[in-house]
Amino acid sequence: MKNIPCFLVLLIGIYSCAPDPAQELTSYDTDMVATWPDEEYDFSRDSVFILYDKILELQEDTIILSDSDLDRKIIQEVYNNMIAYGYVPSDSTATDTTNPDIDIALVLTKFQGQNIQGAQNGGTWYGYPAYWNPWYVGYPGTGWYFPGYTYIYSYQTGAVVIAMFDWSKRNQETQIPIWEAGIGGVLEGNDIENRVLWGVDQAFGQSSYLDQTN
Amino acid sequence: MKKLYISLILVTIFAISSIARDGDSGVENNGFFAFNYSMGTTFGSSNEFIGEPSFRGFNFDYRRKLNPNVSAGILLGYQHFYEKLDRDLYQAPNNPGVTISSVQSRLLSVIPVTIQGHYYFVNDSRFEPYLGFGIGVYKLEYEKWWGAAEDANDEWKLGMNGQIGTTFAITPDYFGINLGLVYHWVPSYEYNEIDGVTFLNLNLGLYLNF
Repeated sequence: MKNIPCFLVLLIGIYSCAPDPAQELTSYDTDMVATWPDEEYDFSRDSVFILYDKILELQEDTIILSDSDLDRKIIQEVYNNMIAYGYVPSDSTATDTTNPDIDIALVLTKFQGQNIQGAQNGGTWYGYPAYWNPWYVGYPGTGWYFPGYTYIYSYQTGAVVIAMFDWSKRNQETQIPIWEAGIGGVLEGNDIENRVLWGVDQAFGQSSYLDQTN
Repeated sequence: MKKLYISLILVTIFAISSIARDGDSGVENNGFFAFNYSMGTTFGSSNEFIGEPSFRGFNFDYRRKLNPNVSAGILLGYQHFYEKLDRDLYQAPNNPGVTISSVQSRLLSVIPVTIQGHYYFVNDSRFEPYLGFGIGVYKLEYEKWWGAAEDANDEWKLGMNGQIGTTFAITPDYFGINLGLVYHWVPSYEYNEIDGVTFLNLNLGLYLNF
């Protein structure tokens, strides 16, 4: 019977050796990029795009327009990827909602910390755009809305979302993005700037159907 | 299948209930308690989920001899499987149009709580090889992490196991080593890529007779 305490120590030791991914993974390991195209949409037909020059930041009780150095670098990285894929930037401003020459609009949104709890899907958490529920998000200053996203995110790591919309449908009450990228986990941890810019490149890289140069 | 389960449960309950009736077994020490360290490896769809073997497991094995060749008892265990997959592109399981770049961490914890019976081919020997069978409930904890986001599922399911092994008495009738294989089968657990959990444990432990 003297051996029983040893058994218990061994038992606790084995149990405590069970890995916890949240503790074992590096910041880079926790980063993920999900991309979600509208499969009905013909991406070969559009070329002129408008990219908003600020990032929409969803906070606990409010939405702000974020304009930090990092935000500008993220926007620039999206811009560079669009140019690399053969899209043409519009010279219109973000608030010019009447320009008929624009084909697509890109809106960037970010979430930080645990302020976005999201929804639970049938008892299962998913952290990615495929599982978003429609939720109307206003883009302050433009007077019109970009619907289609509630971010479901179960972890306190923050995310950046790139949403691409069909400009011709801008006056419709309901719009679903024609392409969306969720870059999760990149706004906390080490080396945030490199990770989020990598995430932007990865989002475009894994969405070769957007490429108009082929 | 349900009839089989019910029959096996009834037989085992009958065997265990006879334990309580006391000491007519003719065996001097008819209590047996083992603590085993266990390694595990998955099969079938469980192996598609986690192919890596598990070195994180243990179980408590209690038996009481009903006669020199037969015992009944309880098995309570824990086995934890884990595999980390390198970053790759995956399709979302419920929406193949979604492409996900991530590191994937996959975990499966299994806690069997079964009643069991054993048959011993020889007795009054240092080695007592045996065959066993257990049936009961299994707690299954499934986790798939896409980066830091978790897809989790916990369920209790009916399952069974088959056992083969031997005991080796270091001190006759008192203390020794248990070595065995236990094949666990939980056919009704279905989640994502898993359609029935199957895994094999290699147990190595110490036992006490009392």
